[in-house]
Amino acid sequence: MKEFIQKIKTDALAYLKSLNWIVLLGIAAFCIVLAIINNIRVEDSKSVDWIGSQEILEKPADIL
Amino acid sequence: MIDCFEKQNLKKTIISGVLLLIATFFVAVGVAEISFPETFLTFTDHEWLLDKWPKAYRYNIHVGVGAVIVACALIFPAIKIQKDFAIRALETLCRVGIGGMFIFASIFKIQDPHQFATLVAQYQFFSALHLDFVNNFFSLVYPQFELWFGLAMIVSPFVKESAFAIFWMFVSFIIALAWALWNDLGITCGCFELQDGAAHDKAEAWTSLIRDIILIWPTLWLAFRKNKSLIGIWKKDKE
Repeated sequence: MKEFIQKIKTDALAYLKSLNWIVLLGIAAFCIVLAIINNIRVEDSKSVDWIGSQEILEKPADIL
Repeated sequence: MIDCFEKQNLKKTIISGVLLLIATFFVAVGVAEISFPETFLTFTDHEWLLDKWPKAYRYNIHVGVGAVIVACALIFPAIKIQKDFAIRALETLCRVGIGGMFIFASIFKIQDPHQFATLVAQYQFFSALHLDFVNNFFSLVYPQFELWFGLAMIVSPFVKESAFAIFWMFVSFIIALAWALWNDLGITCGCFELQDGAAHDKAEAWTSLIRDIILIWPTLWLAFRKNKSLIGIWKKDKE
């Protein structure tokens, strides 16, 4: 069992090392920039505050 | 030319292709039944069926899951008949299907961040973790991830990286939907459309959870494929 867990750990690490992290983090950073631009681009009624949440709606009584 | 298109293998390739085509149709029907009622691929809400059997629409999940099982049953013989072709075709179909679905899902959310942020807030997940302040920023960034990783899955050779990201997005959807069902929040998934003022529908959370549990497997498979472009898949492997 211990060997099996060790093997999984080694394989998972090898897999993570095989990923192109520059691409992954590059796309992620690009997405964050676009998200900021998008929030500025959309009309006021559709944009949100950068930090914060929205109100929680009341659950209808006739819900399935 | 790859081996599967050579004359002696062509017959097997055609049979395998037909089986995969039928399997694709069944998967499309399954996804339509589970997630997109009232589309041309949804059978359980056809009027002629509802006339004969008024409760047919209630069985959309059963029909959807059944269609996916039939599709899986067709994929195995397709692989057995012509493995080389079937694997390449499956990779192409999975990349276009999953990538396309993520692109489609992101459009509504990008167009209306406020509505999506409201929907995310209904999950009450961040508030449970005392991270309320993250809700809006998360709602802004997440659809962008869906769009660009979905696009990368289709048009870039980085299938491993995009599938890895999409896999973790599926994991987050499954956790969020399971959380909503566990806490009986009775909310809509908000996966493909944002309904104005109607964020509650318990049945939809179930169907979305089932869909995500099905779709996470091909994504996991893609996460272990070699990085190749869609055209590269159909080129002869280098020895």
